[in-house]
Amino acid sequence: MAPRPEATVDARVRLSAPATWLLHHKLACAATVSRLGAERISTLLVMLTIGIALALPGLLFVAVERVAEVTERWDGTPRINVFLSEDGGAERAARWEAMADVAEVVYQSPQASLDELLAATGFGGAAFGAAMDGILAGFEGNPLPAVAIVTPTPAAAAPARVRALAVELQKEEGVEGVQVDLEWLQRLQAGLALMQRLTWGLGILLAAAVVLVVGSLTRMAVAQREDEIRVLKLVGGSDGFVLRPFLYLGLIFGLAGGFAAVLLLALALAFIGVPVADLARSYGSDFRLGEMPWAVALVLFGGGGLLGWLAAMLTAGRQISAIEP
Amino acid sequence: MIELIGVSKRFDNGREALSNLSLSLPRGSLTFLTGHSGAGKSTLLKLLLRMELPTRGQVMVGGANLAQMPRRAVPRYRQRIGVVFQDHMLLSDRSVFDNVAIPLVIGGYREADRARRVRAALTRVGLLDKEKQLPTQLSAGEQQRVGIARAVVNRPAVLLADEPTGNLDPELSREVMGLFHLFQQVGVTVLIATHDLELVGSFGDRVVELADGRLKDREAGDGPAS
Repeated sequence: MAPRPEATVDARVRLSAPATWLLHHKLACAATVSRLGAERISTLLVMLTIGIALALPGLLFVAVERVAEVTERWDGTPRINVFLSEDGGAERAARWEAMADVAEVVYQSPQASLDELLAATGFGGAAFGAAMDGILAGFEGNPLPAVAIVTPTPAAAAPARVRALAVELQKEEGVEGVQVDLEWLQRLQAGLALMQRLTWGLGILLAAAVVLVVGSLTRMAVAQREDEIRVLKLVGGSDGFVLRPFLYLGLIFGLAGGFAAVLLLALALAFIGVPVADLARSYGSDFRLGEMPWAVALVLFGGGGLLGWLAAMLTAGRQISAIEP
Repeated sequence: MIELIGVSKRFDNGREALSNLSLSLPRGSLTFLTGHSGAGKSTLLKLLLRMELPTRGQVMVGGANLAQMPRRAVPRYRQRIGVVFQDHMLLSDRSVFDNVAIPLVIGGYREADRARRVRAALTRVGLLDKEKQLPTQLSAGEQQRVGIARAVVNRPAVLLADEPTGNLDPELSREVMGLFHLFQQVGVTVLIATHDLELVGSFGDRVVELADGRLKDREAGDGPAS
């Protein structure tokens, strides 16, 4: 086509390609927002649906991570409690530090053990002191044994090595019993690993559910507006131009759902936080679920948006390019 | 401006809608395309809008060969073509102003310029006072004029119309045809598909008649044959 006289003024009246692209995004976003604003109730329902689907793995993740964090503070290094039969245990125990696999030996006298017991059970106070004295009176002297707390070197922290060390210590003179506090930690860590996997599995399943929900909503929206899409294509709208409002539909659903998930999660943490802390305290722990980690909030919000955008892209993209005017 | 050379279009079901059709429409001409339904009028328009590809032959519009145009170039091509439909195809949830502005939005016109051009187009079709209304609030004739305003708002070089007076009474039809002649006078190449032979005859423009996908060219009346 020969250049029309108009082509010369084009630069003044028409925007550059990037500016046009921005304008299209602005208008597509505004159109989608106003369309959603006209259907507030159903938008809210979608937002809640996605929010619940995202909040559930979020809550599990926060809980599991918090438990893992606490158990990691035990640093997984096992200790061996060696119960000693008679006096003179302190000197004997001190010699064990020379053993290859032993990092540290802490001797605790029967009296120290008793004090610890009293403090831990809350019987140390004046009110219970008398009662405890009564109980202890039933024994001859202090019923508690002396204990040597043996910490293996990090190199020898593997369960098998620790158990071998325990067997060796058992053979030592004056040793009445050996207790390895290893198994419960192992069980806990195995349980945590399982929970982490379950959280991820559930997260992936529910993320897929979000993609399916947003995808089918976008599909319906496209089907509803097929006539409009034909018109837009006939007057020169590219596939991308036609698709853009639907991408924003997916993005906004996803972001709103992510936002709802953050709110729900914060609410859940506040709601069950108090009973969880009470429960933990009853086990003598200061474990807290705590507040919403910012990283999790960010992942829920951003991830929601990403999933929504992706879902719209996957469904509407193909649908729209298939609509021929 | 529009050049068809030996164009045939055979559909998948074996029906041949156009057979070996050659046609040349010079720049600034106004041509009526007539014929019975099924004669190939809408197939021809679809070829010109690149909604269909010819089975054989060349379709050239403004120097562009539509048969060889890649799919991604089609939107940009359509932006240079104005189209008026029988059922005007307005978006019912947008105001008259926004409907007319669509081609300008797609083309990336500045906001101030969009407003100026939309109002100019609406003024030309006599509907400036209805810019805020929804299409459904307008009469059939007014809706058709909005469709025309949308087709010409970005000053296309080619204006195609498919039965633009199909739903209008004779008086409105004459009015609409008057608008098309106005655009022709400013250099737009206009092609109007219509079965309204009576109306066509009264203008004295070139009439191309199709029958069974073939040309029955005739120059109507004694008007300026282009």
